[in-house]
Amino acid sequence: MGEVTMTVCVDTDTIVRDAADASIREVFSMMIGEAIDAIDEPSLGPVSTEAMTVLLGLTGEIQGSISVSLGEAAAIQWTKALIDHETTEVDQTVVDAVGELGNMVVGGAKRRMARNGLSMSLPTVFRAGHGSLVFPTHTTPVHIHYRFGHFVLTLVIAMRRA
Amino acid sequence: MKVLLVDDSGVMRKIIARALHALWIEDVIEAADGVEALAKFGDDVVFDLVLTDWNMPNMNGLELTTAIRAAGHKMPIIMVTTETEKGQVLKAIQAGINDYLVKPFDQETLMKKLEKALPNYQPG
Repeated sequence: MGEVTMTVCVDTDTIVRDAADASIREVFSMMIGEAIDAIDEPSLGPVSTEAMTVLLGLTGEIQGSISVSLGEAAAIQWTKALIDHETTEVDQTVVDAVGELGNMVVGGAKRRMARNGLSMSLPTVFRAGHGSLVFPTHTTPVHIHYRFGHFVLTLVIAMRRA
Repeated sequence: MKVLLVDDSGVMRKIIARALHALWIEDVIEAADGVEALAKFGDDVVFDLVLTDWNMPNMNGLELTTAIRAAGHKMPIIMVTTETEKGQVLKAIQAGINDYLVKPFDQETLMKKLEKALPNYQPG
């Protein structure tokens, strides 16, 4: 019997989405022992400006950015779960902890896309939610929402083939 | 047991230090970069293990590993990092690390790395 070659094509969006999804679940599971669930877009309540986003850039055969947005209360809870840090407001430790969240999520996604020869930037944390992220033409962001305890966080993936 | 923990992230140092304390390793000396780490070595200071991040200002984990080995220190060095690209891993091994701990990690994984690096290590 002749040799059969089969090529499976998976589009870039699926590759990146699956990698980022697997990574964020792994981070929450391994670092704070919590499972997070993907949810439909949360119903919009009063618009809150109290939010934080950590964003990292990726370059290589695929390029763009991946970011994680969460409310301040969620960021404080993440920090408490991670290192038992008690605070009622976003201090430098919370900022650093959110930075580490981004670092691990994007690092894990990058690891899962190793064949694409990716390099990762340092994390940038800013005090704004994912609604403040705007992207240039030809970049279509994908939003994935997760529930973490009583909180919601959003993964925003804006990547494309170089 | 004395461990040198090197990471420019205070949060990550706290995470790892807490994990080490949970494994009954209390004597953990911290440094925020390779330069600070090297300054912790002294005639009367002997580390049983070094845990170091890769990307740090002033002196990164790779440079620190090279410097530690050049000084003749033979304690195990474990790189704690998100970096897993094969070429980079090879560079780290050639510089002298003994093992890798990929972030994120859990307590069990850290314990296994410690047991592998320190055969005489007994938790508890």
